[in-house]
Amino acid sequence: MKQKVVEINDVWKRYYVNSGQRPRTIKSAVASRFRYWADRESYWALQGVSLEISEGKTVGLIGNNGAGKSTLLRLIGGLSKPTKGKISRKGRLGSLLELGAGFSQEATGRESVITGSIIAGLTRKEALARLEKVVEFAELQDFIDSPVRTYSSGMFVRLAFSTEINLDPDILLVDEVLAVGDLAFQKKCLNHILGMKEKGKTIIVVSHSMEQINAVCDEVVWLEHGKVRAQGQTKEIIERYRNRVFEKGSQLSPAAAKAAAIAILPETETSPKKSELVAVAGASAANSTSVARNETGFRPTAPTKEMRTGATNIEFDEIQLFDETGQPVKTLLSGDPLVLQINYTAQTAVNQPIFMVTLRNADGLKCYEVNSQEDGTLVGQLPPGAHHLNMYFGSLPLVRGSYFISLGVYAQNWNETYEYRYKACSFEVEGPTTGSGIVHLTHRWEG
Amino acid sequence: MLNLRTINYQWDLVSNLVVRDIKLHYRRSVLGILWAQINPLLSLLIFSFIFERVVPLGIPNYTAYIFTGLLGWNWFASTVNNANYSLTQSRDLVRKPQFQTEMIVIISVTTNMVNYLLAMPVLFGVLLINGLTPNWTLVYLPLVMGIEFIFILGLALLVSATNVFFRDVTHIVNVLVSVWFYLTPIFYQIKSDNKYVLLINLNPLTHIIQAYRSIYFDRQPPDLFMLAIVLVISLAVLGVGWTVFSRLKYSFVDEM
Repeated sequence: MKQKVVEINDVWKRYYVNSGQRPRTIKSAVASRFRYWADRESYWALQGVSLEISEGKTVGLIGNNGAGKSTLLRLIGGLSKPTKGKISRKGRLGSLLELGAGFSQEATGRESVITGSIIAGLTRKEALARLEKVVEFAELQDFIDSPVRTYSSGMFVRLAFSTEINLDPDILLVDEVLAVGDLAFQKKCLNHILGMKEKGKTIIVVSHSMEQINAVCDEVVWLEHGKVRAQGQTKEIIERYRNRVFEKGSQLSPAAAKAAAIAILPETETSPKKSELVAVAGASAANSTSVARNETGFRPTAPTKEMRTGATNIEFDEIQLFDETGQPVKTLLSGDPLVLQINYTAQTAVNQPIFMVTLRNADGLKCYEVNSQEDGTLVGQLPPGAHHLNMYFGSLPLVRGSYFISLGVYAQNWNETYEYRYKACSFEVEGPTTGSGIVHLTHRWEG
Repeated sequence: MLNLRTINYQWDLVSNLVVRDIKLHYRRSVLGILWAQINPLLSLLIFSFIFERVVPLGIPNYTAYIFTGLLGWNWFASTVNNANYSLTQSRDLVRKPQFQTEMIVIISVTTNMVNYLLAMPVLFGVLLINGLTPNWTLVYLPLVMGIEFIFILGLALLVSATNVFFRDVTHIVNVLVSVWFYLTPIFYQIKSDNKYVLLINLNPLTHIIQAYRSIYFDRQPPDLFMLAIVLVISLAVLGVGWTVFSRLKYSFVDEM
């Protein structure tokens, strides 16, 4: 029998709804005769959650926004206390929450890593011993003595992430950060976490990405409205969760279904690729833009649907969908072809930018993602000025429903995001009313 | 064994963050850390000019007199004023699970103490110019600084924690600190026949400043009985500050 490293016993957590509007000054508190203390509405973010997490297990917490995942993670981390119930934890804690804590724009990368490591729980000696490994992992050997303010946001995130991930804790709390940096770095982080898992560390992951949960977790806990709805084997629970999401969607009117589906979208997705970490690093469900902020002002980017980060060498002008005859389309039949036309402007000469296209259904589930680099499509040396790029889908055999396309354009080596639009354009697919899932597979029955 | 690592760790944490704060504070300025000496020197010049030339108070060796009080005061005032913002400015640390929030305040008190220490060469320079060569009574210095540390820490904990919930604290503290300045004999001398002498003597900071002055200026041992009383008061303030802080700290994250 393995040791229980985290024990959560009938935990309740109450938040006050109007805590955002509560008097910030004594005067207004007095003026309202402290009435708000009695009046304020509360809700239970967690309602009698009990869990035991054994040593060496990787546990995923899933559920819709507001289900209490981040609250639970925060309580496990000891950041706030349960209103009722008890949480106990054994072993050294590490977290991928609040990345870049203690980093300062004026400090060099080296100083930041040392400070960050000490803040996360290492002695100076231990921090120095790990320094080289961290820098190597972040791939920032050449810049480590430059001030952090000269870093691109991608470099910042890589350094912050490497600092945390190389701490070697017994328990690691992860909140939605496996989607950090470029693809190669993401893979590296995922491998590192899998490595920690092999070493017998306990990992608790909050994520909206079922792919990530599936890739790393042994067990999954599904939270709904602050209660544990189900827990068990990863595959089984994810399957049930997905079914539930689809089920919910089909019971509602199309518009409401769309809204409900958007509500379960990961907050992360509404921000650009490289700021994703920034937007999700914090444990707060209510506040998705909690990045390590310090006096020198590393600003998080507010998540909006349209956004650009870093260098603005390339900007999208117009993104449109056409059918094969060149007519603009909003609705197509399952199996129809589709043309994505990207009109963009290069502000400066850009060498071989990479375009990435992601197709998602209304639930935010990734249906297909591809980039021009892996396709071997070289856009070439672009002179400044207006350009266009067309992407032809021969056939989209999707099930009926709403879909949208996210579009990003990156520097040749992936370390700059020129622009990223989460919902660059959307379309509806009409088709056979039978079957569900993502792809409509042609089939027939024979008896 | 485990405790030894903890102590070692706490030390590393405080020293690293204090050094970081000081380094970053002076980085990218041409004069760098010299500002730690120039700043008190400038306020010294202003005070000496006003109270020696404009409204002469007739205190001998006035520059040295005021400097011996000013450094201890600056430590107190900058820390307590800074306590208003220390938690909200360190949101990243407050939200970091492995980090103990109290450390933010301890680091702030220590950083301002280091600023005091950095200005000490200038203080000794001024003392020597005035013919006040420091003597063996300097051994009392760590004691007085220790007591002041406790006193400031207690207040800073109280101010920083309550400020998270009521931003009025900022304004109240600003006013109180400026009143406090006049209630502490920094630029003036208290005479026993003054009718406000009781009020001034009720101020614990008065005795801390006077202890510094005994050591640097009069080169005599400080009033240990008075210091003992101030120590007890300081410990009580720390007790209150620590208790309030500990009770509120689990709500910081929810409030920020």
